[in-house]
Amino acid sequence: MTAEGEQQPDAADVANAAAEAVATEGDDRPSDADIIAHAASIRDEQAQRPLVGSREPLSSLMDDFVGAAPALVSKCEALAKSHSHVRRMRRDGNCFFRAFLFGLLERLIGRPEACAAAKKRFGDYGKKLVEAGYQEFVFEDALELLQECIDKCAGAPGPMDESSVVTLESALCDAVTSNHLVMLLRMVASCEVSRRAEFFEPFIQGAHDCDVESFRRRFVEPMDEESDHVVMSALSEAVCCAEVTVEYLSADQAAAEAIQFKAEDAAQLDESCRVHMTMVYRPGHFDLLYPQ
Amino acid sequence: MPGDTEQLAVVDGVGPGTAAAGSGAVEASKAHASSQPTTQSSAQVTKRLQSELMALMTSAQNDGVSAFPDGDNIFIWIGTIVGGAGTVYENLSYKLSLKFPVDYPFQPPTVKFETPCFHPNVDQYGNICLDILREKWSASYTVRTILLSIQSLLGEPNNESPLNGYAAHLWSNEEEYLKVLTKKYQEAVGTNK
Repeated sequence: MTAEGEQQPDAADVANAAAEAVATEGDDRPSDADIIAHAASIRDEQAQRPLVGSREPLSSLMDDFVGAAPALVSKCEALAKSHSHVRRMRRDGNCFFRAFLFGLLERLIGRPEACAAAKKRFGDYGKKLVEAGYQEFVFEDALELLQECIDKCAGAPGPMDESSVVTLESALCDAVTSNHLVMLLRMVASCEVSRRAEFFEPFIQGAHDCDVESFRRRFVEPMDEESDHVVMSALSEAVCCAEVTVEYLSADQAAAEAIQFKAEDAAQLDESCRVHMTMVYRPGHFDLLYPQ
Repeated sequence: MPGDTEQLAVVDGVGPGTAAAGSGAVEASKAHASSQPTTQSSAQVTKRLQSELMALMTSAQNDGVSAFPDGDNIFIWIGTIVGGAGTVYENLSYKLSLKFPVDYPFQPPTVKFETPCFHPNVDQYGNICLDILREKWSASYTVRTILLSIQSLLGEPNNESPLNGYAAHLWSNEEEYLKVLTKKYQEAVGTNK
């Protein structure tokens, strides 16, 4: 993990409590009580922030690291060559799902064709959930809500229409709406992990030392659990039309490394139905990035 | 979900199959919900619970779990679990209470054994130590899957973090465990009924 946690009491903005605990491990490892208290203080502080923030200039991301993590500042500078803005997600463990959700819907605004394709994809996925043993009533309201959100995007006057973006922001800042949709995406990702269990199993065993079922039960479906590569890959496969590029900010590599998550059969989709989004990741957290 | 669940809104607390027509339950549950901070409409929670009830009543699976709202408040249910075949709990029947919060299914119900249960992960007050009822809760669980999980916990306790140290200690000695379990069960149902 990153070393900046040691010098900086404000490291909450750089790494989450767990990462920091690892960073300071050694001579004076904080007590469990300290870690719990620190985690609680981060949670309280985060609860004051919107679930989905507004678009900010990329320099605000850089401000996070100035003083705390010089290595990341230069990485941000590199990112700034191709990206102009960042949209922050609340650090509640659901940031990947919420960024995905917002990124997807925002990029569907004013694109009726893409909206129709996405709507059909999610509708079809509802059937897959039932086939996989989910009771319809556990997801039907959330699915309906998502379809309504997509319909609103379809009716917008043009791509990235400003007032539609504002409406979407307030919809996804509403905890009930936002969490319903995150919950749905968690079930979709979990179901996809199960459908491709054979493929994911070695990764899951390697990273979590547990079987596929217990991975889904412990790390994918519960709210507030952070997402890893398996989840990201499963969700992109399931949603298919959405391609996610993740820019990694980590202190121990020379340049920000980008990884793409894209469904295998995405190529069969017409470009007019596809959605591309970029996220920035630093230990424990995802935000949305906007290209220049 | 096909069909209309409204008719199932009404429960009289007597037991499955005896639900009569009326509208008391919906109003009672709304009154209950409005006395607490509400994050989503109580109608939504009520609808979800009605769907769960309907699913439970229409799934005629003979798997040893059942549940029904307790009286006319759909936010409080009584469940029954019969111990799984081949486990020391085989044929033992336990009553549990399930209390649903107003933000169900985002928060889990509070589930307790009402029939005292001798088990490594159940304390003397009936509290259950099971991760899916706490930090690993997810909205994809239903009353049925909760009860099935508890049923499987009966036969496969987590002896690493026991609430009942004596039961955990005894678990490896099946003969002795069964003896104590049977005695405790008889005491429990004897005093409880």
